[in-house]
Amino acid sequence: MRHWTPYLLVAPPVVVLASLVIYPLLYNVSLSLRNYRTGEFVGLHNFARALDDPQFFASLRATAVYVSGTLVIEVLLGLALALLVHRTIRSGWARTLVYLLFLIPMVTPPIAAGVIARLIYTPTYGVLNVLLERVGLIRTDILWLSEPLTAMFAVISVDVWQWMPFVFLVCFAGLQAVPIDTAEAARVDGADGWRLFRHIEYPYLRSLLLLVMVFRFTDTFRVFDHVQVLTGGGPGATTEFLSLYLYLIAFKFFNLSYAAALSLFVLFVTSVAFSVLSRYLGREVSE
Amino acid sequence: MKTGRAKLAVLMLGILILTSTAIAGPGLPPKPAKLTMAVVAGGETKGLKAILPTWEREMGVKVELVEFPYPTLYEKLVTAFQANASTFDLLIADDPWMPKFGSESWLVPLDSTFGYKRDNDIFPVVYDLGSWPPPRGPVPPGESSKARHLYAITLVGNVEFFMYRKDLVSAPNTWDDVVANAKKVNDSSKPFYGFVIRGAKGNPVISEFTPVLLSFGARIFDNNWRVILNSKAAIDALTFFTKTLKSYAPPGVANYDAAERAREIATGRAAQGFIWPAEITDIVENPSVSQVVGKLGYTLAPAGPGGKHAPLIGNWLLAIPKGSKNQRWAYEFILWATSAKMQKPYAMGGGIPFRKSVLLDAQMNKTFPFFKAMADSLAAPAEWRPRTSEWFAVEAILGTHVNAALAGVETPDEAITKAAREIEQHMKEAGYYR
Amino acid sequence: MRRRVSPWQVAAVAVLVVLTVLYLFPFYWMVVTALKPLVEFYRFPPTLLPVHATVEPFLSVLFARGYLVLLRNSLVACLTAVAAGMVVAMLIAYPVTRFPVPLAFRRGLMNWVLSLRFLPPIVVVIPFFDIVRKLGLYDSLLSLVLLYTVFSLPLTTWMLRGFLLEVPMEIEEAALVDGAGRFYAFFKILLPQLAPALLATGVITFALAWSEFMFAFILSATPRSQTFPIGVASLVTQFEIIWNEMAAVGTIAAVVPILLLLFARRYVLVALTFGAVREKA
Repeated sequence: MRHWTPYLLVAPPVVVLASLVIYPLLYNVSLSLRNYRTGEFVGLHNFARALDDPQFFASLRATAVYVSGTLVIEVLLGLALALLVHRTIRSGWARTLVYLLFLIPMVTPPIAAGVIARLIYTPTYGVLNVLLERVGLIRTDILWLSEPLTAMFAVISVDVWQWMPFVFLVCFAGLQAVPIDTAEAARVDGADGWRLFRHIEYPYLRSLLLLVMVFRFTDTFRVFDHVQVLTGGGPGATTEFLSLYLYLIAFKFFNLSYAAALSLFVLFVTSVAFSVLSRYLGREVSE
Repeated sequence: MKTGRAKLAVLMLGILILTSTAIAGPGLPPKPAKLTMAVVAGGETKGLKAILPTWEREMGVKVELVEFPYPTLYEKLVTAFQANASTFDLLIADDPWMPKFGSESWLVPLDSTFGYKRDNDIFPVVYDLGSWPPPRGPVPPGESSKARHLYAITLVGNVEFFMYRKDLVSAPNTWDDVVANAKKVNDSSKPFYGFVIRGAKGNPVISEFTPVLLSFGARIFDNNWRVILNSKAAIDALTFFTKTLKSYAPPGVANYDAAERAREIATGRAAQGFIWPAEITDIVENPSVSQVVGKLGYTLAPAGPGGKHAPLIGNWLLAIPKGSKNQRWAYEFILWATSAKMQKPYAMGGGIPFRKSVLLDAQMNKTFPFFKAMADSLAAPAEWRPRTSEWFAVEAILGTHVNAALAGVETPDEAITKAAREIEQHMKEAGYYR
Repeated sequence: MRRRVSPWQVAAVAVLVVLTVLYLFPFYWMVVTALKPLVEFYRFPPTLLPVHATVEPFLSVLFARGYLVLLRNSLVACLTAVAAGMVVAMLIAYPVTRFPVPLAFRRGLMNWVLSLRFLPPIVVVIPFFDIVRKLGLYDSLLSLVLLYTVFSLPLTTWMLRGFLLEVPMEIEEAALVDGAGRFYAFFKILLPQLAPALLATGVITFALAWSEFMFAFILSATPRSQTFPIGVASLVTQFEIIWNEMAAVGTIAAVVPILLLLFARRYVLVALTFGAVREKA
């Protein structure tokens, strides 16, 4: 066995992958410095334009609301549920059922989830209004997709429905690492639920929570599929998130240069998020 | 040497025999296995589907339809053209896309390539739509020097007009009539609505609002593509649209597309609204789903304060992309599908016709009560969307703000001001002016 | 001794019951919608059960609309990508776990591979379109297979690395000492041990590729290369309400990965959480 065998094995895929990353990057940089129609060099004009583009800032704001909303709800709900199930449900088959139930939404294609959500929220056929009216909670239809607040709620709800289970599963897994003796001892010592969490359970979850948050942040930051099917960005531009706006510019306006400039911005934000993760992973991989 | 010649003769004879079986008519190349055609998904292709079996039987060439939902068909065509792929032999294009296709020279000119002859039975506006550069109105910079050619011919004579419950209200001529009608029948306790708006973001709300905007005398561009949208007329039109009309509309119209609008009419919950022909045969006059069959009247788009009617045209045009490897046969298909001979079977099969002879035919008008309204709208002549390849961006920008005003997120004043500013910014970027 | 039921346990069961309803009802509504004939959509209010249930919408999308071809395309693209992704991922994961490479190299490589997982598709889709156009691969399944392979690598490589680390090296080393070649050790000793893990990895990669929308949306044009999610999006038309067919394609799109998942549930759970969940399911 020669010492360079591993490098030979790794080389082909790495070269192909690297070129598939570097070429798009260079291509985008080159596009972003030109006028999309004439191809003439315009310097940083396309980047400067973003600073003077109210739609861009509106999409940033909408994305910020969406990302923070889903992140907070998913992490809090997922964590709370994991603690609840971990502390109370002991039976093996019950846990198995919970797993299966929660795996289902995660493998459902976002497009299909968008279709489901449309069938639930849509103004004329939506089942949600029918149910709410039947139990007497509302008298007149709620226009879920026509009001900015409820439309945002609707798109967030789909994400939470699909990915809160992911947070739950990871947290729940993390909790299995907590030694039962330690937890029992703390309980006997009279620690209440909160203290038990803060001092015994949380240390096991800390790094997992970071992992989960980086994953969810980058995924929600680029959300596209289900929003496209559900609201298409409306009403107005209230759910027109960054990726939808970028898509609009690239494939409706065909202003590829401006799209390239904006996509470099998206790449920058994603890279920052990843660098947080990689610092933590650096330690894990070196084990 | 001698045997060489003899061999050559045999070879040529052989080739002749082999190829002659594949030749269908004089001057036509061999039959392709099939023609691939990009079409919009929905009722617009009903008539086409009805006559396709006849074509396949008569000509022995299969036509494969690839359906795309309206919002993605344009993107799909543009990306296919940019890839210069031989993906499609034929396509149907919404007429506002012609400027983009024309200025990029993506289509085969029908007149200079195949010698297409104009037909008096077809409305002149149809030929205006399919020509590039446009024969009237402002021409985008750099395009006016190009020779004008005909690139496409209408297949679906779509034009937007007005429908009303003739059993409840009288035919409106002006927007004041519409409001009076709405006031008379509106009853939110039932509920029954005086007017139903197709208000979804983007193309839907713009199709709905443009006839209002133009009938109020407002315009988006002047003759030099300067944005003149920010005017009192435009703000009045948007205020009328988002305040007056909306007060008689079902709640939630800011998210209604054509499907929801047709459903409100078909289920007998609304009295008036705009309509495109495809919705009529498919839904509101379709006995299996509609409760108001025979109760609807059709008329020209209502006139604004100045008495101007502004029906919006939205023809679907047949054209041949330059990437096609079967251009000649594609042209044969266009000629056949748009011929006078096929127009009646096409209309009877649920197609939207475009020939005067069929639209004005008394017998046909008994079966299809809206043909007269269509002919009137086409002859008006109907308004077209500004002939610029940037229309998509303009529509997206304006469509976002009009929708925001309809949803109450922006005031009409705000929406018009913002839209005008962003449209101007975009046109500048596109090189229309500095 | 039986433990007494605490109020927390009651609460947990209640929460889980509510969640079960929240998670299963949407599927129920989609399936019910898919079983309704078109006429029922023009009734107020919508009924919770179809009045005249019919499988017509399913037949109509698969045969009349020809979505059977899209289904086939999706299966071909996803399965090929799964196989190709597995091979390529192994080329990376095997050397970094089985050879004495420097720590910095291993860490850097694995980190870099993972970083691809965070590359937003919208950022690269324009350049990829350019590449595909230049290679003449527009509207071909091959371009989708290539992209799905590339985008499956981060997850596949990391999962394989996790599984490889769990298989003790001693058995292979013993075989190597006995004079067996590395190929023999890999194919005859290591691979059989990894089989369940590979299955799980495959199922997840398949589900991801199956769900992919944006690349297929932009790089395909005709049924020659369109995948099933494109068909789902295609049923949202301008003038018609065809909710039953929309729901039918949605149901098919969701059922395929769900069935696969139920089939391989035990390993999927381990794989999906990067080996963090070890409970047997």
